[in-house]
Amino acid sequence: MSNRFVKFENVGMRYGMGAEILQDISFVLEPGSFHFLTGASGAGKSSLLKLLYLAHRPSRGIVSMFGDDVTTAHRTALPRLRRRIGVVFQEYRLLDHLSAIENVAMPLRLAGGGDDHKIREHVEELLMWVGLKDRMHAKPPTLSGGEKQRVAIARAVIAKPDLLLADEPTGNVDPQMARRLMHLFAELNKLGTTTVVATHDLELVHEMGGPVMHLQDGQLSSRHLPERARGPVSATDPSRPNLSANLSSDLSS
Amino acid sequence: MRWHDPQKPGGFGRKNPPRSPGHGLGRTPKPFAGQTATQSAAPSSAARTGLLSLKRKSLRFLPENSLAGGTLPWVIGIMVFLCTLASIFAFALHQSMGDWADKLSQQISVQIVTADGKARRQQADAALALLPTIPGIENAVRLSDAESKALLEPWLGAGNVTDDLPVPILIEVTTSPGARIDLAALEAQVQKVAPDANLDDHERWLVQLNRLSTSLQMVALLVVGLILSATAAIAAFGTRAGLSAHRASIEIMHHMGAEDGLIAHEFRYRFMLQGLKGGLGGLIAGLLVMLTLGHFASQIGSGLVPDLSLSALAWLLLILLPIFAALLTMMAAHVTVHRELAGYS
Ligand SMILES: Nc1ncnc2c1ncn2[C@@H]1O[C@H](COP(=O)(O)OP(=O)(O)OP(=O)(O)O)[C@@H](O)[C@H]1O
Ligand SMILES: [Mg+2]
Repeated sequence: MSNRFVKFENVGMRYGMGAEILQDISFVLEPGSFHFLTGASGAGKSSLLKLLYLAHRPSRGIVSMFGDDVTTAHRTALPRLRRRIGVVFQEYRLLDHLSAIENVAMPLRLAGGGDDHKIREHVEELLMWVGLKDRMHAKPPTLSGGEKQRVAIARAVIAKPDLLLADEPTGNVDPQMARRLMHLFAELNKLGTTTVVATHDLELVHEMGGPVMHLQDGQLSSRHLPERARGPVSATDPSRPNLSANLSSDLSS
Repeated sequence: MRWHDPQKPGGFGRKNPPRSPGHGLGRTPKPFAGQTATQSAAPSSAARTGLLSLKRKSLRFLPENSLAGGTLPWVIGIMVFLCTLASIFAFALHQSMGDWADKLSQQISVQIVTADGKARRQQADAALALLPTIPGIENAVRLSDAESKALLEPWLGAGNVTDDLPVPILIEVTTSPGARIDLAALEAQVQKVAPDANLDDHERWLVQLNRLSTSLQMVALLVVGLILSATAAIAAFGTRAGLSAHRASIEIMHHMGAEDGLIAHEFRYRFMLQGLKGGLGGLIAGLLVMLTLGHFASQIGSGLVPDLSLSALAWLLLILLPIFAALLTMMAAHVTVHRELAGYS
């Protein structure tokens, strides 16, 4: 696999004919790396993620994903790539007429194959792990914000994507649950999933440490936070997520 | 290549093999602790986009009864109803005109027109003796004076056809089916024994009848064609409405990597059902109307009203109408989904 797993070169982004809200974005995500994406509200975190999950085209620059240049790729080339990406949307985006189980099972069904029974077992296990044991058959409109968020997270990770993008994934849960969910991401990351977590929760970022991509005025800057004396997640975890510095600052000059 | 390489079952961790869970939050989420069962290598079935891949299991990303129950089946029903009526009339017309033309094309009228009553009768007898001996002629029947007069009455008025009026003698000749008769030669032959004989094979009539029949059929075909294109347009319209009503769900599916073909599959299936539903309703209504009309016609009796009985082929075509409507609706949905989604970014 290409070590240029995800690569942005001087990327700009705008909505419609508006002004560019992201400018000169350059970075590389190495396979298996873990990043936080921070920035004030409205800084463009969700927008940058949109480029990453191939929902929006850059207005300039080059985006390559999994070694393919997707800047101008035909839309029929995208589904194959999208199936390798798990996304936790800021606004969850669950299918309201399906139960939590069915929502979470969808990526597995989309991937094709796998018998129903196995899929179900697998999904139930994960939902139990995120604390939704009793809400598995509930439909999203009857779930609380935090419950929906956890369903969205379960859906994003169920197929063990190559790239996981989580937009404010802990915004609606209590700190205890937030740590548990972060642990889930870390666990998945250890298995090789490149992860980007957009968040406001600087507390959590400091706790986890690692490379941080920071958006300000449409520009990206990066720094590496030292790991702090931490909470239960990593304190008792001998195998910390692989949070090596992977941002190539040479590209962003 | 995905890191859960199917050739290495259970072989997680391209980089980092799973390590023993030692965190303080309970066990490692088992979904990541060595499960490969649900991971299959090929994104195969979901990615296929064939028009007729109805067998593919629905992913139910649209609510169960969405896209159904609206006005579409009604409109399709009305369209098929109109189509049924137009087809029945076209078939019936075709049938009776055909019968008529067949009968007529086997008939030749011989008229003996002379004012001299005795000569008229002599020539008629001579012609009657000659005609059946000519190959290709099945029989020759002389219309009685009463019958000949009856034919004139509508033009001259009852009672005005007096006995002394020199009514031409008419001989109806029936040719054997498929026989090719040269009218001019036959006329010359008949005129040798009956100099005042005129022959008419209704040729001009037949040509006109054929022209009328053909034009009526063309019109019926045009009507059916127009109705079908309106049906396709309505189906396309319904598809577009369905797409925009479910745009959010479709976008979610796209983000998860669903291909357009998968979306089209869902729409195709539902629209086909609606086309079938409406089509069956329309056909049944059309047939009921036809049976009622046929009943009224048979009550009038006589040969005044053309028969509404249909050939087996016509019946088959009628029964195929709802299926055709379903396929048409399905195709319109398929094409519309692909065309619309192509503009989704
Ligand atoms: N669909 C859109 N059309 C036009 N402008 C948009 C759209 N979505 C976002 N924007 C604008 O782009 C900018 C960046 O928005 P974005 O949602 O990426 O910010 P964010 O960093 O995710 O914010 P938050 O932390 O509040 O989620 C904002 O100024 C926003 O108003
Ligand atoms: Mg956002």
